[in-house]
Amino acid sequence: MPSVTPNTVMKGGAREAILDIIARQWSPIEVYILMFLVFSIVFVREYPAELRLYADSILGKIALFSLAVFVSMKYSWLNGLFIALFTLLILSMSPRNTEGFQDTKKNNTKIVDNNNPWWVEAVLKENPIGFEDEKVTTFAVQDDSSISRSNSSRSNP
Amino acid sequence: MKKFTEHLPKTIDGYIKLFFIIALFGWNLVEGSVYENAYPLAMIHIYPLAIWRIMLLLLVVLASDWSAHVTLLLIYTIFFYIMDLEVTIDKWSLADLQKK
Repeated sequence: MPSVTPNTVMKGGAREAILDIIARQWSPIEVYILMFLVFSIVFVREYPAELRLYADSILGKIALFSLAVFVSMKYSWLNGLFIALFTLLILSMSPRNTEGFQDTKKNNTKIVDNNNPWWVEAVLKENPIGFEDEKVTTFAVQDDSSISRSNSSRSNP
Repeated sequence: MKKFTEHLPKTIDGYIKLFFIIALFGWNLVEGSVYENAYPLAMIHIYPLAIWRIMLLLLVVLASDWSAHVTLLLIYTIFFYIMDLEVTIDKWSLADLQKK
């Protein structure tokens, strides 16, 4: 009667390497922090614009920078590095670049073809696929206050 | 004063690390210094896949167990890659343009 040999289990690959690192060096809390950070970085665009704007404020920056230092000191330097990466990404995507005169509610994006390029496009060899703002509405500076801030005095005729 | 040859790595592993450090340093210099520098087309097409970005970050985890210098440069590389493509997609997403 043939003897039954157990199936050989092959081990190896990146999965084993990662599991080995986790088993040797990290506590469960560090693994949870790492997983949260990985998903935060991968889906950084999904964070709401208000949160990104708040992260770009002085308080937000202090909180994020302190968190990176705290985690790298208390837990692991890799998690601190990931928080630094997340901080830079969320700051680079904060909606701070909107100028005061820009109307963010109205989108004038227009798709264009390259059949009849503008002269400047032909010279600079640019091939735009669309204009972000075809028409821009701007307003002149208004001063409705009755107080004169001018230091110059009017000469009487 | 030490000779230059004494600073060179003594093992093959050291040379591989040095190779990655020089390669990533050059890559960051090219891609990080000028925003208009194009990424390889495959990297642009594959960017929207979340699993690709997760794998890049797992690569950082693996690199951290190998060399801190390579990890640091890899973090720079991933930061420039994600930031450049996110900004580009945000401004010129074809899907967004076709919605208008």
